[in-house]
Amino acid sequence: MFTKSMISRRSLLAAGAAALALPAGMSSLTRPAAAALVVDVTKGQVAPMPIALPSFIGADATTAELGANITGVVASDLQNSGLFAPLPQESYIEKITNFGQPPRFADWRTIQAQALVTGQIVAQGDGRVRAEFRLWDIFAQAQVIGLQFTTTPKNFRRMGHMIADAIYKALTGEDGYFDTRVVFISEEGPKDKRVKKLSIMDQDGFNVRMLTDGADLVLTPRFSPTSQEITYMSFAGGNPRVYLFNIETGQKEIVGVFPNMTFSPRFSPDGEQVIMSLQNGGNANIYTLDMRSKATRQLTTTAAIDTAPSYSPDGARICFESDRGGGQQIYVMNSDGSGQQRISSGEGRYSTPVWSPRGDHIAFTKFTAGAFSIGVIKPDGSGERILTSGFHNEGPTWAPNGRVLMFFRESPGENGGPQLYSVDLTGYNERLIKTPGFASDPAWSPLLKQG
Amino acid sequence: MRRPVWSLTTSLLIHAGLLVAAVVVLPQATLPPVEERDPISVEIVEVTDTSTRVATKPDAPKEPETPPAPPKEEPVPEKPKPQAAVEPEPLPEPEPVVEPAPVPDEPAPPKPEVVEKKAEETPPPAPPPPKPKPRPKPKPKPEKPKLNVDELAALLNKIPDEPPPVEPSQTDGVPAQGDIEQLLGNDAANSADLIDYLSQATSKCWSPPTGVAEAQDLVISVKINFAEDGSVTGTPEVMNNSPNPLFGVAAAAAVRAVLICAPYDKLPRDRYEEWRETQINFNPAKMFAP
Repeated sequence: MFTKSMISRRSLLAAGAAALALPAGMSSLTRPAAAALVVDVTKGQVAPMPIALPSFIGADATTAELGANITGVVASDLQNSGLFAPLPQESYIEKITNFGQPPRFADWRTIQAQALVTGQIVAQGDGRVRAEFRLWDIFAQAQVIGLQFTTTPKNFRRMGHMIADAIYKALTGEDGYFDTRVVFISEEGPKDKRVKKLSIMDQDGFNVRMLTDGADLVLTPRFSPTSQEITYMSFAGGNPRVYLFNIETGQKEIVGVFPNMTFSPRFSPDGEQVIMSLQNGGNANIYTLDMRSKATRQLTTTAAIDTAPSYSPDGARICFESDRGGGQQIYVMNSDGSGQQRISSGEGRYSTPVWSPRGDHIAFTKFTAGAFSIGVIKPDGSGERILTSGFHNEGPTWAPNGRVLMFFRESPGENGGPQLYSVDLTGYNERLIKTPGFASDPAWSPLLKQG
Repeated sequence: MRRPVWSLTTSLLIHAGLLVAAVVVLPQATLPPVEERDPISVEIVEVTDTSTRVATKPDAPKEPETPPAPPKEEPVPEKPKPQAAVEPEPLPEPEPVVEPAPVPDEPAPPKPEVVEKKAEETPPPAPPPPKPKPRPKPKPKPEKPKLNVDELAALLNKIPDEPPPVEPSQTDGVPAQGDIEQLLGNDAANSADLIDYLSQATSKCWSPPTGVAEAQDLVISVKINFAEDGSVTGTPEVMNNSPNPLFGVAAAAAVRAVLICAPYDKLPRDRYEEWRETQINFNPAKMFAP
């Protein structure tokens, strides 16, 4: 853990120089203005932060129960992030009974808590409830944030996610990703006769809803930047087409009218374009379709299959997959189609590139040596890293903060099927996202709009 | 005929090689190039070991300052309205915060109960993420070269690269090895044990923000005033600043590290002047090296 290397020689020298600068005997008379001793710490712990989450209090049984439920959602979000370790409630010494009173910090320090969340639920009388909470830094003995949210009680899970996001942001400095949804394809029935339905759920696997009835095959759903619309590919009517689906109204429409099949759609970051592949004989090229003017623009013109386009978060560049060089590889280009350039260089086939919302990485699926992996690479082609590998992993999608990825993993065998998993950008903290049945092709929404 | 010339050349070459090898390699082989550094590492490792024991001691019940349940107003400052004592920090308009548009397809909410239980049971599959720590791998021990004629050329080639494989990242080009031994012998070296102890102790309590690229360059310098018993007087002062939006979180983590580890009761009282004011620089760069 700790080695000699942790003290740099520079600090030894600095300390030595400081001591030498003062002649013996003088040092006790004149104290230097700067700190006498300089210590460099270059190694810390990458351990989840212990956080105490006593159930939010309520004046009556109803609000108290709601408080406990909301606290449960918050605790589970924080735990799943891998960055926090919620402490068991049984270990708490102080019982929070008055939200208006500061906690007894010593009691929380005793159980090794570094942060504490206190909260209460207040019934407003109009059928809605208000959740108020405070986040405390136990060692600094200070409040970090204090916020309140108002909603109807049945929305308690979302309230919990929003509180968890606020805590996450206050303690990590990054935006959270808990108040988000995931669209995916639910799969039912035997392996050779799967019924696939477009579905949506909360990021943590709760509140699953089916958006289509399974009559037509659906693939590759993607969120619009507003989270209100989804674009996907469907075989309704026999010919694969790109569709647009409004999750508020349930309305569906075909995106553009093209003679051949369209597939692999995705929104631009401003939501004004849909970028996709258009088949042309044995080839496919990448096109954009302007959502207002319905004008199309062809970006690639190769005698190959160019597909799976994905914009950089600033909309200036696009990554995509192409087999123009033989096997499938990842390419990037400017958003007008200029400057096309291959960035993947390892062995194997690369597919489904997705640009991180933070802009610093492109996630991909890689097939090599009989295994499918999920990995990331920098947009300049450097720093390729594999996050997970196995029989079949595919289709990464980014959480809006660019720290967590979701993908699907297919298990082998007669009764095998796809399931959703999440993994950190570090390759750690892999988790199964439980769904009612098999699930594939996840797409993470942006943070939901508040209000 | 070329043959004799060829073999003569070869022979000459080999002999010359042998000679050079004897001169260059043999004396070297008797010097243990790596062990030179051992005195230093052993020194520090020993101190470290001692301080490890110290730092592991739970410091829970002790408090640097007795916070006798501070007056209610204090930690909840800025109460704009003295109305309900309950009001948290004022939020502009809390009302319309959560009114999510539920997905329209209410009719087919497939057994949320079941889903709920399932998800609740979700066992944390992976242990908390231990960070991939790019440990400096122990240098492979330099092979003791045997004077094999066949390997001569290789040996000769190696010689320039071979000498004591000092890990370059740590030297910063500064001290020659002899210098360090001198350092350890004089007064300055005495601070090394303090530095080591404090560095070791606080590193156990320090969890910098992880996984954020921009945070890796964030060095936080904290000034600490110690009381004679090794407790921290007042609040450690953050001495630098940065426009980086993550600076606040990183600074809070550094201050927390100092406070969590207090008191530092292994600091020698008779040398109080040496450590009564200490600056700790928290630098996460090496933690996240790819």
